[in-house]
Amino acid sequence: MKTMLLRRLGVLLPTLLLVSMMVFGLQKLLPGDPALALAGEERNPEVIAYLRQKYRFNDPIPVQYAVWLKGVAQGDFGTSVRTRLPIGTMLLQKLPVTFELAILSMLFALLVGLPIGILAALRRGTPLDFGASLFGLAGLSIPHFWLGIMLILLFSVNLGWLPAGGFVPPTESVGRNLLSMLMPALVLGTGTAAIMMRHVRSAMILAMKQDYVRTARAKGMRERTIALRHALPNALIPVVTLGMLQFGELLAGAVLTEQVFSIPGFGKMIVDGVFSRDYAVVQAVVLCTAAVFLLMNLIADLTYVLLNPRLRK
Amino acid sequence: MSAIETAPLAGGARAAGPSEFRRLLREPSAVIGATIVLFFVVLALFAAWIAPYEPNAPDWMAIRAAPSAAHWFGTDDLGRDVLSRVIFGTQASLAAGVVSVSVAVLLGLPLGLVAGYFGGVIDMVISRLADALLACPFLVLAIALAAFLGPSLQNAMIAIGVSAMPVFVRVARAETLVVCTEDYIAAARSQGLRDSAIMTGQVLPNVLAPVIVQATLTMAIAVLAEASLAFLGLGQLPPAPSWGSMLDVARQFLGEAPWMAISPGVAIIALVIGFNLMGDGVNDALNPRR
Repeated sequence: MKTMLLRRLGVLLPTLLLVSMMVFGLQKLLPGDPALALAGEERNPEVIAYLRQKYRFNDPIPVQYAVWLKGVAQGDFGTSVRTRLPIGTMLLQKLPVTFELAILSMLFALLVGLPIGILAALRRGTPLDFGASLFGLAGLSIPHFWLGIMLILLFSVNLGWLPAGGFVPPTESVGRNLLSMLMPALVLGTGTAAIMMRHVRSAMILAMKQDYVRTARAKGMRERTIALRHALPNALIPVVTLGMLQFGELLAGAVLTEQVFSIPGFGKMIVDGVFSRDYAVVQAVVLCTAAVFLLMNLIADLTYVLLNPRLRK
Repeated sequence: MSAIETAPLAGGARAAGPSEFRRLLREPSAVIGATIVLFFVVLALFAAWIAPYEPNAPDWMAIRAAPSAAHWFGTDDLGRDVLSRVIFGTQASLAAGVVSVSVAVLLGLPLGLVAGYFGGVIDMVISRLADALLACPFLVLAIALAAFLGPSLQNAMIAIGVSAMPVFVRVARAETLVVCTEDYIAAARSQGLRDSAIMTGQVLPNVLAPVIVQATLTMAIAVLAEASLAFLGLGQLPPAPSWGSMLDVARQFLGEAPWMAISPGVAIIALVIGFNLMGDGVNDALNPRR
């Protein structure tokens, strides 16, 4: 296990370094003087001079990268030209909001995707299975932002049951916080629920064909007991790994959901950064998302090994 | 929007031929998907003849008019016919699907071929680069690239193509590794054929099928990504019609004109379902393991 962890870290760190090079390289896509572009629309000469000096734009590119990477390694992502706040501080403020949204979305995906997937596998070829397949296809084809708009139209504009947007911190009111996150979590979780459902269905169908299931049937066990006690735990192993990977995806998918529901999280931060030409913010969000994504991949791999006794040997 | 998933059982697929095409025609999902996509292709090609109005022509007497016999899907905040804009918007979505996937294939396929064929340091460098790109979630990378390149449909397509490229590197590399163990490759080498000739003449035709499957599935993701970027203001710029930007505008008038939000969304879903069904069908037809 330790060897595996070290081996995986040995791959993760160089990958993260390559990601950092790519993220730094994004700056070079900007037309003209990067200091002018990074300074935003104000074109304040002091800011431009400060940026030119801070990022050593007159130095060779490898030196510029080294300076930038040193800052990033120390948590210094620069200062936002829009808010004038350190980007590291902004990330720490926004990340918990997006994490909450991702966790609630994952809960929704599990609550919906798991039972539908199990039932579809056990009732294979029935109208229920067909309905589950349609749900899977719809979940993967409906754009988050459109689903969000439709839910706002129904539950906020027409029925007036839920707030159309905004975020209430849990420290202020847990109830209102959950109410404000209900629609966003449903919107973001729908795609993941569809993916979960499809994988659980496939894994359960495969598990129900295994020898131990045939043995259990020969012993006269009830079909329901076989499915829930024997097949399901084995079918869930790859699903746990998938859940970890999907959690990383949810953080990325939050970009559009947060925009539709005006949630001040990580996703909205990158979009605001794009439109205020706050390129350092965009770079920081991309780098952090990639780091979280890689970390979730690592945890997924380790969990898979932990849950699968054959791999532990 | 979910990230790009590699076609689950694409490995082992064979190059498409007449028998595969016949099998494709027997796959109901492929036929339904292809029909849907064909419907949108016809809409895009003949938009000027099919659309009842000019898509950018405002009608100040019919601002946010509800659906009626004159305007089947209603009008928008500038009195433009929503149906006509949805029909013309097909062009941007299909272009994004085709061009961005072409960019991804043209970049990813040669890199995957070279990595799988030569192995060693070349493989390591290409694979690590692909891993690094895959570490950045698809939409986040596409947004960042589109932001730095500047908002336009062309840049959105480049951003989506580059973001989708690593999946093709992986698919092509994996398939090349399998193909390179075949006897006919050893025979070609023993005949003294050059590496470039073996790669293009022997390996490439045999790795194309899984790449085609992946490309069809990626079209759906590219259409969604283009709509997402346009929704954020990073794709097709107004007043040119695009489903994503139409939804962005519609969001501001949900209470007064909900019809503005319905048809562009339904169009996106229909086209994405078409590509997804087609991808599943192509996978079933070209993959002998299924």
